[in-house]
Amino acid sequence: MMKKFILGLAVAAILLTGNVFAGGSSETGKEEQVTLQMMYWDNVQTPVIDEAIEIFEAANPNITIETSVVPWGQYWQKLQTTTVAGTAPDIFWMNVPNFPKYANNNLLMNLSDHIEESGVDITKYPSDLVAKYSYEGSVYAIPEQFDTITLAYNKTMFDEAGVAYPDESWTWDDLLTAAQALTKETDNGKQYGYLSNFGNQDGYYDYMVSNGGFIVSEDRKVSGFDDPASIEAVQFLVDLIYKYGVSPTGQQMVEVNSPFDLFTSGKVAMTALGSWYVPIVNDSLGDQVDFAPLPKSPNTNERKSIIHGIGWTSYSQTKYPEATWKFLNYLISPEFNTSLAKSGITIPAYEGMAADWVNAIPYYNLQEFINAQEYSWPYPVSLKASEWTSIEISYLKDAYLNNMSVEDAMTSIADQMNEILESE
Amino acid sequence: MTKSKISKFLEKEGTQGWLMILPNSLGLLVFYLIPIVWSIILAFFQWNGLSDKKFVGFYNIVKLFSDSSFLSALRNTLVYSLVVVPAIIILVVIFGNALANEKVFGVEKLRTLYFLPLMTMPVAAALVWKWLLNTQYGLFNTVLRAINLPAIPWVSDARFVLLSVIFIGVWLGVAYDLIIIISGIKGIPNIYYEAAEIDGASSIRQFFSITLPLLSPTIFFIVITQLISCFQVFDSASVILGNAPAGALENAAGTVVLSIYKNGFIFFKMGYSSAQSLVLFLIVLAITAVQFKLQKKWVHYA
Repeated sequence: MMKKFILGLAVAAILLTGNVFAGGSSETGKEEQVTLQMMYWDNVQTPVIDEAIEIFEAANPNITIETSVVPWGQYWQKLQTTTVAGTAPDIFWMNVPNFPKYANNNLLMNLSDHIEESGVDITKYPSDLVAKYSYEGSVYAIPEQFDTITLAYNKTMFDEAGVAYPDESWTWDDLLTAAQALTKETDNGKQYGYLSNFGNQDGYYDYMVSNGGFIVSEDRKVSGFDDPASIEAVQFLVDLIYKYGVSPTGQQMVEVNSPFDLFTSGKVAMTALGSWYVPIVNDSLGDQVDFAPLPKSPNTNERKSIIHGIGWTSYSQTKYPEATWKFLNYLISPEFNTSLAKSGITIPAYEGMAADWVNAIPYYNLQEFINAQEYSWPYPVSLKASEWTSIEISYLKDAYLNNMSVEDAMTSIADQMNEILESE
Repeated sequence: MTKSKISKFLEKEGTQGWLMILPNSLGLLVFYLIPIVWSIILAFFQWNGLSDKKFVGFYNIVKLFSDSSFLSALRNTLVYSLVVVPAIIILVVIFGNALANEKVFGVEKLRTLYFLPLMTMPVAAALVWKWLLNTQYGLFNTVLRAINLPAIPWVSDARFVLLSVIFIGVWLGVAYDLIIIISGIKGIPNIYYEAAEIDGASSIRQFFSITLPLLSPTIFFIVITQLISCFQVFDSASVILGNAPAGALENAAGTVVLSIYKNGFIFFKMGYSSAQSLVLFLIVLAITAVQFKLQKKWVHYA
């Protein structure tokens, strides 16, 4: 009886502590079965990633990859809690604003030695992004893809209104004129000319820097939100809503799951759009849509497109560093980049692969997203970037909802952001 | 140990009792007690979840009372609780009296209908309500427009958003408490009503002199449990306010638990977030203690 009791306790202990005995041994025998955990957030990429896993597993029968797609809303929370608990996935996606925090806390695997050993040519990846994913001289993440912003427009609506399609000569004034011509009452409610979305990379950042403003100074000490040029740019975007009435209101945007639903459901004729959104637009509107460069600021006669890229990275505490690198090395290989490109899902980071992506959807002028690199502006970052980005949205949401003046919102952001920058 | 000693040990009532509650207690320990103690400790530290913890004493707790976003969350939670609890009590007592009467046509089907919201995940329910309350496409505003009234931005205007959250809270809360109140009403012996009828008491008089006093223990139970769950309201407010609760809308309808979540898992201020949950815990504890004191004045145990 007592024996059974002790046995029961032992079983309970095993159940409670989870997989103590599972996979504890190190990578010695060649035939040892290894299971790697992988985590990313964009379900749109699942078909390509699953295909890559199949190919990789066939070539490496002793490695099994388990994926989990964690939606953006929970991704960073999940990553942070699992890295602290020591149960983080072996391979996962990283983005630019979150990178410094993870690198700074030694949570990422140093890839530099592996890169050298395996002869990976790191110059084939966008150098600016590689620099963003480096910490104290070592590379900790390798870009999977990059994304830029262009002006997406609904051709059907332009044709109906008899307005010429946007082109590279457009300034904000042309955008406004066209948007006014495209705004009208219809049987299904109001149709709008432009979606003044309160996203940062695909919204106010682009306009702020196009207008000669900035987001964070190069030495990462000063916020650019109270810069007059930045304020003027955001004022223009909010005026599109409340002064000119050519954009859905902030209220309409918070009531839908994603403001872009208003564009993909054919209620709005134009919007600034990120390249990652192309497959979704293709699913909903197909060849009715095309892409043009973002309009230039009339004050500077310049345009800027914020460039960002997701990186593959791995957990510093992984039990299988060799297997992890092997898979990661496959994910950054030209093979995987080619299949990523051909799927039309996202612009692969590997040099020379973009052409395949451009041709993936023949009726779209996707070349605009590639051209945007020429006038791109790097995604702003600092050690505590993830903190000040949430402050931004907090105040700008009020400005876009017309509860607060743009100037007040922008100066409040700058004040708090400067405090955070100072504490870094 | 000899065999007889083992069996004696096992036959002791205490041992068997402990063994039987062992599985449950382990769960309680791992998922409740340890986290509770841990979060109380964390309230006195500054910790972003990654770096080293830094002891800051009462800094977090003192800071709370000058943090306007926490104070507005506290105010919203109080308003929410003070509206939702009485509304639920009034509604369940009225509906409960109707539904406890077996003579009402289709009463069993009606009870099922009222109980249905409980079968729904609060998040799913809130998502559906968010659509029903949508300014342009929602059912509520379609009706308002049909009778020539202006549409109301229920979920996107700071003036109405808390009202919407309260509405969903009442709708969800009624479902569960109705079951309890019906069983409470059914537990009142019929002889009281028969005696009252012979004395010529009207049905309204019967309700106030018999039903209500004898229901008071049930109502007391509902007030206690509902108030605690009101103070912890999260799902519906989180869905209505969206992924990134911010600005005037958050100010108008953000709740304490939402603030705990936001500080802990969006800003990763674990210590500050724990301090908020500690304060919330103390408030709920104090209110519940006061209620137990006050119950002597109005709760009649038959």
